[in-house]
Amino acid sequence: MTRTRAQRAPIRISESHDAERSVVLQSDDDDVFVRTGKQVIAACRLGISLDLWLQELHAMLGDVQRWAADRGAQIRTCYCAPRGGRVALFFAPASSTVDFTLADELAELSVNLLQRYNVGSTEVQQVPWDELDRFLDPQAARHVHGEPWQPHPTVEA
Amino acid sequence: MASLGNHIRQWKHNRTFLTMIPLDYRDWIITIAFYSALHAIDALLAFDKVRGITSHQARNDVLMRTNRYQRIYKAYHPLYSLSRTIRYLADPQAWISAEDTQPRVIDAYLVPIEQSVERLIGQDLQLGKLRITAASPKC
Repeated sequence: MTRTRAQRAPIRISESHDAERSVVLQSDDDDVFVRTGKQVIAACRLGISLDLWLQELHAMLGDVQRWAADRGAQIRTCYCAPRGGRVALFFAPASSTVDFTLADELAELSVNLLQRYNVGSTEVQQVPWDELDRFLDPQAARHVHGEPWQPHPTVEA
Repeated sequence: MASLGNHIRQWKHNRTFLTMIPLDYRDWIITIAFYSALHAIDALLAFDKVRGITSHQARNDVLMRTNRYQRIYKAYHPLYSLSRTIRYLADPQAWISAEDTQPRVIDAYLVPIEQSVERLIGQDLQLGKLRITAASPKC
């Protein structure tokens, strides 16, 4: 279908002039969205904020991955999952008991992440490998480092 | 907001109970040690007139972001994390050994927090030594 010159011209929505003006958007499947100009601009701002937040999160997880890799002998796995409104990082130590050296280092890591990344509240927790699925769903969580968690064979049988 | 005195009272109340819990109940030792630390810190925050602490996360954020509390945070975070983990475990006694409980938790985390709080509020609370009970009660 040939587009007219008017259809090629951008539609401008000015916050100062069009804040209360209705904007009607129609999708290919005939959904119709009616928004005010103010709402359209707010949605764009939110989209940019989400992009920035995701960039920050990816940068942070890259940093966490390197941090964990530097302690490869101590850390068996690391996962990231949302918890409430926070980003939670779960570390399972190589040992079957709590690793106190790692616990102290995780306290420092939590401060460093807060200072370096703007992703809101981040929580860092050490959990045992055997009971990792008590704290997160490993299938839904983001695997950051180490051995991917597997259910205990006796559970599967 | 509770007063400095109320938090100190609850802090002492918890640490008294802490000394009564046998080592076989390490999940509860950790939990009560954590709540002793929490009231010690809330006493400090009340002393410093820090308001709006209505959640663990809010408390953690204040501790992390404030230079005055940095030493406390370094001991508090591992205790917070440990208590958040151990209370949900099906086999909590396997996560921390009896031998580690006094030196690695009480002496390494709770006692330094208490000492820092006493120093920062300028009070010697005559808390006395914290010794965990070794023997289990006989039923």
